[in-house]
Amino acid sequence: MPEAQKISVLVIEDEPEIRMFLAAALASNGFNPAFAITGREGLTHLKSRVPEILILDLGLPDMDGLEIIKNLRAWSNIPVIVLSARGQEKDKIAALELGADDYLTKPFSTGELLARLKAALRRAQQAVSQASAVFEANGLSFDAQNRIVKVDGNEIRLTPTEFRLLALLVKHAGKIVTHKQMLQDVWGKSSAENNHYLRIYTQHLRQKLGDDPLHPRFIITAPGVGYKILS
Amino acid sequence: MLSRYLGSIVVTVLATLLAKTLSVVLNSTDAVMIYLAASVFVAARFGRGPSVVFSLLSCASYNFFFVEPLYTFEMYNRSSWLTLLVMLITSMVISGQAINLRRQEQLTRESTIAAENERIRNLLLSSVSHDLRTPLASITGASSSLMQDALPEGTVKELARSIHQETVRLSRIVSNLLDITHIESGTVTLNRQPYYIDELIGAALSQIPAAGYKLETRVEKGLPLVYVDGLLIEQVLVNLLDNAAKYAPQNSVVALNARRSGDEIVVSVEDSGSGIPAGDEKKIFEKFYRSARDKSGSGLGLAICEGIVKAHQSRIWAENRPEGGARFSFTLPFAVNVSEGAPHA
Repeated sequence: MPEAQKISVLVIEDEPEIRMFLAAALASNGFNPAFAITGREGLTHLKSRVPEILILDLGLPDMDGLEIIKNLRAWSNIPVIVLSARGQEKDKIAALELGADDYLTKPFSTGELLARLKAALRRAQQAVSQASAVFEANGLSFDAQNRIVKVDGNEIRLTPTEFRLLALLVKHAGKIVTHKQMLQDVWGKSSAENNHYLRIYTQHLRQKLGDDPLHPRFIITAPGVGYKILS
Repeated sequence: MLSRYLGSIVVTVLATLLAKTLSVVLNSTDAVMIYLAASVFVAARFGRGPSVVFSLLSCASYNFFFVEPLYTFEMYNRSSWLTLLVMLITSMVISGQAINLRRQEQLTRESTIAAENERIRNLLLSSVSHDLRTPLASITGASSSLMQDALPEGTVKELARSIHQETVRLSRIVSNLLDITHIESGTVTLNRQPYYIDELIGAALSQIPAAGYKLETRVEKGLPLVYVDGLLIEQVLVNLLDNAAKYAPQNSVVALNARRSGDEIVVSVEDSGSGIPAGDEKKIFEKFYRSARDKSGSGLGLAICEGIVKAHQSRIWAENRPEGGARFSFTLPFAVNVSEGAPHA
């Protein structure tokens, strides 16, 4: 593949071994990777040569990875995949809420990484090309403008709350929407005490869509983090 | 510190009251016995200083309340001096003995705990070093082979696959060790939220690699919300299914059930394997317990399950099914108290 056709990716990661593995995996799979070791270096790079996608380690020596997402989101919408250690649930949620697209928990395999990168890039492209078009995936079709929801061609009637819930998930299709984001967007409040609304309405929505939570076809549960709709 | 001295004063008052009440039916020298009995209590309970104070106070009280002339510190009878002296000495000796006994007990207790800690540490070390060394040996071997020139393509793939498999195993062992350490340190703070059990089961199922058994999931309809740490309960489910996968015969059925029982939900995982060795139903939840058939596990999966379930103040247990195979069950509390601003237990 000629260099020009490769997808530019910036990796901000301080551990040399991880950088080495990412360099090999990315270069041999259609990406053109660049590396930054510190957060400061990463930010400078981001501003001078905007990549198509960013892979960001949250545990950097000089600054909090979350700061980089906050800074970047002020002026760019490129997809961000966060790398985090196990058990850093709070950081993952914070990263998603600041606008990260996905996260990978170390250790991860090349296969997982490539799948996440491709999904994030596809989402970014869809967002640009068909902002107002009908969402369709796995037999679910969602027409926001005409407020029509169909599963396998059959129209489903949703209450206004269920519709808003589905609209939010569809807007971020393929990406986890955190509990807080859902509560804020759908109910206009973010208090964690209202979490049971979320469960109850999500259950109703699933029932109407005929989505079995045991073997979900549309809505995936990420315990402790949020929900996402498969794209 | 001060409270122990106060305690000894309180006991003096109580002993005096008791002796005075009984003096209607008892001889005044019997009061001595009551004070001596109390001195054993004070020594055992409050230690050396307070017990010296008690000895002196009780002698004074005895003199004041029981020796003629009453309610003075004077004495008519010389033998009263002797009684008082013997009382003081006896009381001191008894205290000394009681204190020694207490210290001895404490030492024994400490050394038992130390020995138990030592045993667990040794078990941990021997288990961990074996568990870590085996995959490390394969990785070292395979990766050094990879560095040689001119290996056939097939061999390269095979070595890489072996390195990958062993590192996955290593990272699972390390995660398990971290988890059990974390759980046992008692510093786990549960992120409790309301969940429907079926969504947690769904999340757990998505993490289980395809296995040689057939999974049947039976979740009772209309189960209420449970109030749990979703990520941790997901891990319990994954560990129980992992465990079942080790013992379930090829193509057999593993059943995952969730049903209501009183005011809780009971979740169980059943296999039709060889069952639990008789008498080991409790032991299998211990750290590093490994059955003869389990060579690859870290012996921590079930211990982690138990730790997580107990942190939820719930129960987990194992039993053999009458029709063969093992059943692991745990309970989860309903989210009955979830309302606006409900306190998080």
